[in-house]
Amino acid sequence: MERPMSKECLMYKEDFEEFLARLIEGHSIFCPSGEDISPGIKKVAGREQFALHRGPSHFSFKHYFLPQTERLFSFDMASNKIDASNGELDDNKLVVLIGLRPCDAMAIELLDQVFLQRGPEDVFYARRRRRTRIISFACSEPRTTCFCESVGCGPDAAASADMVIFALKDSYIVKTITQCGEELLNNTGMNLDGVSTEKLGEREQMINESRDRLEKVFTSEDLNGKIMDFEASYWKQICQKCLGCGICTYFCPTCHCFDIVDEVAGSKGRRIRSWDSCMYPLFTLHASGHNPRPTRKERMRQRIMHKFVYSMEQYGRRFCVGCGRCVIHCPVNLDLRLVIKEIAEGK
Amino acid sequence: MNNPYIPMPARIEKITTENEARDIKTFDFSFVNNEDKDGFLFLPGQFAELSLLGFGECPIGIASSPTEVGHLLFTVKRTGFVTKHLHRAEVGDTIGIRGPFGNSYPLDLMEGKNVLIVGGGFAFTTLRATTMYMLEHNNRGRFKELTIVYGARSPGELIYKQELWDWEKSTDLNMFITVDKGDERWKRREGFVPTVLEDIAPSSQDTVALVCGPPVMIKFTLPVLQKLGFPPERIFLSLEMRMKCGIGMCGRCNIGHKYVCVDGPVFSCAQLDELPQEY
Ligand SMILES: Cc1cc2nc3c(=O)[nH]c(=O)nc-3n(C[C@H](O)[C@H](O)[C@H](O)COP(=O)(O)OP(=O)(O)OC[C@H]3O[C@@H](n4cnc5c(N)ncnc54)[C@H](O)[C@@H]3O)c2cc1C
Ligand code: SF4
Ligand code: SF4
Ligand code: FES
Repeated sequence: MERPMSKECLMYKEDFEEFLARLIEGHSIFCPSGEDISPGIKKVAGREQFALHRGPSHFSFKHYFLPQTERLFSFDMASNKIDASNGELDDNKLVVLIGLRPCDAMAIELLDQVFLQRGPEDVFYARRRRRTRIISFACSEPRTTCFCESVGCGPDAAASADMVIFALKDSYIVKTITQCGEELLNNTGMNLDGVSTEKLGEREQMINESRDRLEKVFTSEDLNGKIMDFEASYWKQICQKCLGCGICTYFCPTCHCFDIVDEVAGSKGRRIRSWDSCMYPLFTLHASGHNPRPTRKERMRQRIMHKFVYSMEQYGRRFCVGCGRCVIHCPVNLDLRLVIKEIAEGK
Repeated sequence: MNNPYIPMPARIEKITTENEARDIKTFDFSFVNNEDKDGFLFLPGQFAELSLLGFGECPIGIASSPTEVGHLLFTVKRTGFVTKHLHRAEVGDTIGIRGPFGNSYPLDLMEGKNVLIVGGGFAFTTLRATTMYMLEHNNRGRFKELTIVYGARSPGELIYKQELWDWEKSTDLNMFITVDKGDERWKRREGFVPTVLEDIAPSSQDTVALVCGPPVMIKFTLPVLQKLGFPPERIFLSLEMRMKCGIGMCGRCNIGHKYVCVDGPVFSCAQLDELPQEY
């Protein structure tokens, strides 16, 4: 999208505090709320509201770009009038998202493919995306469910970040990735030093330790070549314990399917879009009663093949960043990593 | 802000009830705004989302040809919620249209060749558009022989009846009309579309086949075409999927890596052979 602009500098604890304070003063800042109530991100009004969490946050930042429900327009049925004005979208003030882990930042790059790059832009997504700057934090403490490395992401991945921060023991390395990131840093007016070899060493150690901690249930090699077969018999087994609840898709930072419905009260109403899930039978049910994906087998196959096969043909990318949320939240412990492993082993 | 979900207002100018069961109606629309009318450029095979504020939207194939200036036809079967309410609309009512969406029948490939059209039931809509397009006098010379095999369950279920009888008389095309089961007044052919097709046995030489109909008709028509020597690259089908956005965003209508709303709805059998059998 823009010229890469990589530059690194060092912040000590006080510098970092100052940096946050200045950032909060000049911008609209959002960080993970730490709560398990949607949307899971909150506006940061003061320094004390920002805290780093271990591994990926409860919810991803998809909620910000693609809200769970979004009004497309309002209407009046009596007069046939449509009102598409949207104050939130017309607001072009810069928004800074801070505290994402590299996986969630990479997921935004994948959503960009769908909503900005495939065909005509989605205005709702585009407006929010263009006014947003992303400051991600490299991962020092992955969770046991994380597998970013296996899917081509990683604890220090910089995809879609304008700035990546590495939190070391008593200091921070700030790496600006894009010109926007550079400007963001410059605008805080901080006077910062370069990074010593000693600190670079500390960072390398941190990232290596992170990598070592990541479980390699399957490896990126397992994803080489033809990894899945639509006709294979394993789909029938894989879906056995799935309840079809759709939690995996709601938590997934790259799942982006939506429904469009009208909500009416009296003669007034609004057309909204809301998250939908390929794990539901209604998703593909024709009005005639025919359903191309009638059972959980077809729906499970769709979810997994869309992420690992179809998306490669559509966008040249796999639509999984290894955040592990689907593993954490599945009520019956259906572990995507084991599924991939089993498939790779040709079961 | 260019919001692609906003439907363009269109007025119902005429409503024709097509069948005996009275559950298939053709609506003729005119756009309320001239710029919408001028901007609605489409080719036969494409579809649009018809929108009823408060009720929702449904994807419907465009049944008229762009050459039928002043008309924009959609033939809609009353099936569920939105179509039921659309059927309650009256001449003069304004509804919304979003589109045109999807690809068209392969006009470039058809040019200079014979065209065989095989249709069944009310799925004849975009095939009607294609027929009208080819029959338009400026276009007729671009295509060679045109053969149509069209059938319905019973005489009362044939749609576009007047046009069918006109086409039957016309020397511009070879028209074969059939019904599964006739009644006392039915003097024409009886038999399923695939069977009739097999009897007529049109040549596959230099010919493109366009097929649209209920799944069972398609299932039995494809082997016949194959037997007649049509290669999969020259057989085209128009597919249906549950749709919402129509613009490749909502993720609902995929067959493998293709979205029917943008990559389709028209696919050749060769293309479909490359995709999962999930439609
Ligand atoms: C490319 C394409 C071309 C087509 N061409 C034609 C054609 O030419 N003619 C034709 O007749 N059909 C055509 N169809 C099929 C047609 O789209 C369906 O028959 C139609 O969508 C049925 O809609 P329905 O609302 O009546 O059915 P339903 O099964 O009731 O609902 C379908 C949709 O309506 C909405 N809906 C249903 N109930 C409610 C509710 N209670 N509240 C709010 N919203 C609701 C929902 O959004 C739902 O997804 C085509 C389909 C495709 C994909
Ligand atoms: S599929 Fe699971 S692990 Fe992969 S990005 Fe989605 S939620 Fe995360
Ligand atoms: S969260 Fe688990 S049970 Fe629910 S739909 Fe996903 S795989 Fe199935
Ligand atoms: S209808 Fe939304 S992607 Fe095709």
